[in-house]
Amino acid sequence: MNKVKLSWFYPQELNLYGDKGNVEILKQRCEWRGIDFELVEVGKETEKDKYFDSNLVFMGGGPDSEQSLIYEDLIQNKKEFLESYYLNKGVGLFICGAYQLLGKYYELADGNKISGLGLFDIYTKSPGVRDKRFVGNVVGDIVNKDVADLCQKNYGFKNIIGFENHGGRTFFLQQYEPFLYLNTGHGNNGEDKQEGLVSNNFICSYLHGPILHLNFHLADVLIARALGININNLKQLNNKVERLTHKINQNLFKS
Amino acid sequence: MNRIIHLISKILRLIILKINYGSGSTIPGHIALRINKNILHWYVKDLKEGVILITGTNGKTTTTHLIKEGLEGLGKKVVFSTTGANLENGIISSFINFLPFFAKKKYDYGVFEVDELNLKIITKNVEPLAIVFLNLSRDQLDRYAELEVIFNSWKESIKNLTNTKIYLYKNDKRLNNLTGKNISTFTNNFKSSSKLLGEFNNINLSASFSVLLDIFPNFKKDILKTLEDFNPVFGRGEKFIYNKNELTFLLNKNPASFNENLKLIIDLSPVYPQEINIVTIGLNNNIADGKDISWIYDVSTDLINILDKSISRWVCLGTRYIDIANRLKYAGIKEEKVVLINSYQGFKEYVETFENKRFWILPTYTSMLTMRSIFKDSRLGKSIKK
Repeated sequence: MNKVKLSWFYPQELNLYGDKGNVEILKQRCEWRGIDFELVEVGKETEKDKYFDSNLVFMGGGPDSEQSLIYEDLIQNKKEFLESYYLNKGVGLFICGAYQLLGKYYELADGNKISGLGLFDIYTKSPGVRDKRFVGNVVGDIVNKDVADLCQKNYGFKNIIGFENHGGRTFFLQQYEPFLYLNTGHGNNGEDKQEGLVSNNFICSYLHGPILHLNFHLADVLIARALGININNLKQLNNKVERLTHKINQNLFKS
Repeated sequence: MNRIIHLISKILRLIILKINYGSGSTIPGHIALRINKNILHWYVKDLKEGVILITGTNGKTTTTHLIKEGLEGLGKKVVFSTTGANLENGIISSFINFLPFFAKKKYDYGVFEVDELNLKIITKNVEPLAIVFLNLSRDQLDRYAELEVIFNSWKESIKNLTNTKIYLYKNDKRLNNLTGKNISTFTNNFKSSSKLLGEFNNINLSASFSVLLDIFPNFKKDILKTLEDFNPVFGRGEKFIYNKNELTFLLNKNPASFNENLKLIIDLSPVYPQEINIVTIGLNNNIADGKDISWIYDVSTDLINILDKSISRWVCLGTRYIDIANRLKYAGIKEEKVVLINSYQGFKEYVETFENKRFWILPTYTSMLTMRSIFKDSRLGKSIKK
């Protein structure tokens, strides 16, 4: 199928820090290549038959109040789809709050726990009022060897840059492959230099920026996987501005 | 005791100015606060009438100056921040600056813009005459965390006020959830002429008009005259002429102001041939601008494309110039229309290569400061009428 069908979960509620840019970038990079692109905005009312055949899923983060608005719908109406989509190796990008929601639970400052989808055996803990939010620039290397090698070979670099802005600290209860190993920034919990999580074809990360604005190579990784083709087989685009965006900011972020 | 603090702070301010250690717009207040954390209460009591506070994401500076000039136009003496410092220490510094060594009920009003998250701190000590809430949208969220944090702190700020008159912009759906005593609303229905560009300034004018008219119901004509004659302040619609080119500065600090600026230029640019209009976006990400620039993707792609039809070039400038270029690319703007300039001096030289163009300059806060100083000798005294 030469078509990307992107389902964007909760665009109304979960759209913080310009995360909608990721959708615009995926759309343009498909259309510039002549790949059909269909966007489904999945809200609370959206029926499953509108999005069951997606080959790319995106979900961003939102402020706490908005996250609580979709929480019930996510658990009750979307859990089954996301679970089977994940197990069937569907491709997805989950940023910040969406990443946290895929875990087992979020522990509030008062010790109360809000359960998540439980797709991953991970949890996130609120820092409470005493500890600071993690806010700032991030630079890290892609951990997954296949993806790192592909990026190195096709684009000449294998790092990812971004901007993190989160209070929650995420910990793994069993072993997962982190998305990045950090050179700069706090990442999942500020302790283990790890950022995000990769499992099957789901990429989870705290990074805004938007992440695909700063890392066009990651956009291509997602598109190629959604189409089930090798990244080499994607039509070459003129990436002059994108390369500069990655390179100039990488130097800014490191210093 | 407070008199002594005032004296010390005033002397300190003079020393700071003498040794050129900053403008004295925050440090004296900071020291005074250290000695007495309730010092603002004492200062406000020295006013004959009281303080008016203005907060919101966009329009604070303009509205503060509108109300201040409205009051001065009616012969009142007003304490205000000459530099726009809008934290508690800045407000106290303004009092230190304005009040004489031996303060004694010399001023009638204090009019201050207040940083969104500082309002709570100020109303803990002080009961203002009025608070104006202009709007609430995304601005520098890396500093402010999330909108609801601001909203909740505003709720908290007005909770214990009994006599303060609260003014809310009616068309802001978030603001409408603020509840309490003495609340009145204003809209964007200011009908008189104004030198201020853009629909958003109508909100600022309407707010100022409501506040002033409530205090002086018998002086409607005088109030209107001051508001009509008001000139744009500090990078908010200011105009410069350089090498026969006209430069209009429109402060561009978050998605809401970016969208408003795009709409404004869409309205005004078709008057001129497409070739004449050049839009320059100055994107810095210093602390005062917000370190995170991802908000440029919250700006309307449609508005970018509509404006593209009536301009000849997009110039990308500032510490994050490449990010603006990439944003424009993904909005669908053709690369040949986009010019990258990585230094402000380079921009000045670029402007010099033209004559008779209209440069619409959309800078973030620190980008505006730099560009204002680069073109400072070319500033037009009077601002344009719409």
